[in-house]
Amino acid sequence: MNETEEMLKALGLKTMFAISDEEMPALVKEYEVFMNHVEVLDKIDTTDVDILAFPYEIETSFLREDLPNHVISIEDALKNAPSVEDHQIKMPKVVG
Amino acid sequence: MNFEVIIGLEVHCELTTQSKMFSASPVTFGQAPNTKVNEVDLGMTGTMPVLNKTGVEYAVRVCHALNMEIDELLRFDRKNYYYSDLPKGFQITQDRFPIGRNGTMEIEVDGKKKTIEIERLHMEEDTAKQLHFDDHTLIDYNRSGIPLIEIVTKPNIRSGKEAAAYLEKLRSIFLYTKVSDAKMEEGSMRCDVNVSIRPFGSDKFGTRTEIKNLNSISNVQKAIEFEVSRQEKILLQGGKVLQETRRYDEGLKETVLMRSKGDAVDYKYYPEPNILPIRLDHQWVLDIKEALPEMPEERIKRYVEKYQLPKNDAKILVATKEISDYYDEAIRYTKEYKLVCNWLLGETMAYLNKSNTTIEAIKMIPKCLAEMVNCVVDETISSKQAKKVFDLMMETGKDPETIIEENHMKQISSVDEIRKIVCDVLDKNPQSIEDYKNGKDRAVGFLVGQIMKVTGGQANPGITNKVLIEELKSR
Repeated sequence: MNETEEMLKALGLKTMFAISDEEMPALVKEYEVFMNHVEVLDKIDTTDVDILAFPYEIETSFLREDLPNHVISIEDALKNAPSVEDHQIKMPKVVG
Repeated sequence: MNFEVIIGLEVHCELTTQSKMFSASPVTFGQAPNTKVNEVDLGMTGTMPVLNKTGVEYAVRVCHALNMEIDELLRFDRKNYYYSDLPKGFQITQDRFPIGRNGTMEIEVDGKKKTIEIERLHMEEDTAKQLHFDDHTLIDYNRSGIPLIEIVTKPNIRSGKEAAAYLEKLRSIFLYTKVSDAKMEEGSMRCDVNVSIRPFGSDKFGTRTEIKNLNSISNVQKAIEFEVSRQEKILLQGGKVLQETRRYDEGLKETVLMRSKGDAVDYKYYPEPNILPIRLDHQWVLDIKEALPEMPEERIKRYVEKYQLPKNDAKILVATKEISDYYDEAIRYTKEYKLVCNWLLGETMAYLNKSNTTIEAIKMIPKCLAEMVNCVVDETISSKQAKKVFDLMMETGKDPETIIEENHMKQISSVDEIRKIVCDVLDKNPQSIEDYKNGKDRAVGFLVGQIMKVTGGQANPGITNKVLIEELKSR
């Protein structure tokens, strides 16, 4: 395994994705494409440039009234869960 | 070598709003799993967070109570991490611009006053609740999105006792400002502790450890005390304290390693793009301060100055808001401020402890306690009878008048009436009069006993004694 592959494996572990050997070549290729883009961006001098989080510099004043008026059904809430037990989403255990 | 202890506390508090911080699903506790959620709480794509006005109001209340500078321009950030308790993959929080800064709180430890400096207060959202089993985890998202405030002190706490005093007072502020039920055992108030030690005189901080999972204020104190001695031992043996996260094991009464900080997560904070900066109305912020309920310290002052309670009694009353509220309600019906206080701190507290219950759950309402005290003062009943009335009020919830009536406890305090009974008893016991004349004091006791027997214990003891002696002397 080369350096890039090792790093991707480690990142996969941290973000809880198991990366198989079959998937690895495609991932490495995508990673290289991505890094090429990053290299282009890296050439831009961003010294003294503020983070742009919003397209407009405006302030709002709206605050929502504290009314509990929207819930979804438990069926809808659990619809996307691959595994359910006792109305809860069942997960493999990830902590010791 | 002597060490100085450096402690900083981070407290999370769940706010008792009706709806969540950024969504309109209800805030609940102990409901069926995943029934109090909506698309926003589950982090579904395309949903947008909308800030809860009451959540902000509660945060502002606590900021005021902690004498903080308030940033009226609210800005939020994303704290990014991948974990199953956080469906969006990030928590909305205030990293760069907390709503409150530079607060203070005065505490008192062993008679010495000290000001704890508070670094910041920020608003954020709670995560889902996870139940861990041997080989799997179950997730309930009902808690996901419940409004939280986090309050971080500067590292100027110096002992477990100071930490406990700060937490007690902070908890009472949450209760008195009515922003939370602040139950550490249920997790609506949580505390993480940062502890380090350094040789006295050093201006460099030692390596600190963080203690998590503390479910009571007394455990915070115990955990700190253990951790300080653990770090002292390491340093005295020439070792190095490692930066790590530990938890307090109640059984072992020790802090144990959870994880080392070597693999600390980078949260990659950045501004939350889905919430534009929100400018609070300045007048609204001031109005919240105006409308702030009476704080514990003001209440203690009122009890001492207006009702002449000893300061210590006042403190004990105020320590539990519900007890203090009960007292305030009771004294609407009597001027016997000290007596009501005595009954509350004495018999009532004893009853609560013995029955393992709370003041909200008892049958005796404040008005009845006050009326019973009034009955003792106007001598309708004796103090001894009062105890019986008290027990019956606790048992049945009936008012004292009914109980006194039903149990024929009304004390006879009319001198004329008592004199008549005394004379009757004396007429029937000439031997006792003789004994008394011969200096046998026991005779008085016997005669009082006879009078009490005739009246079913209802004769006012003071008056009875006085009248009896008068009559004995006159014969």
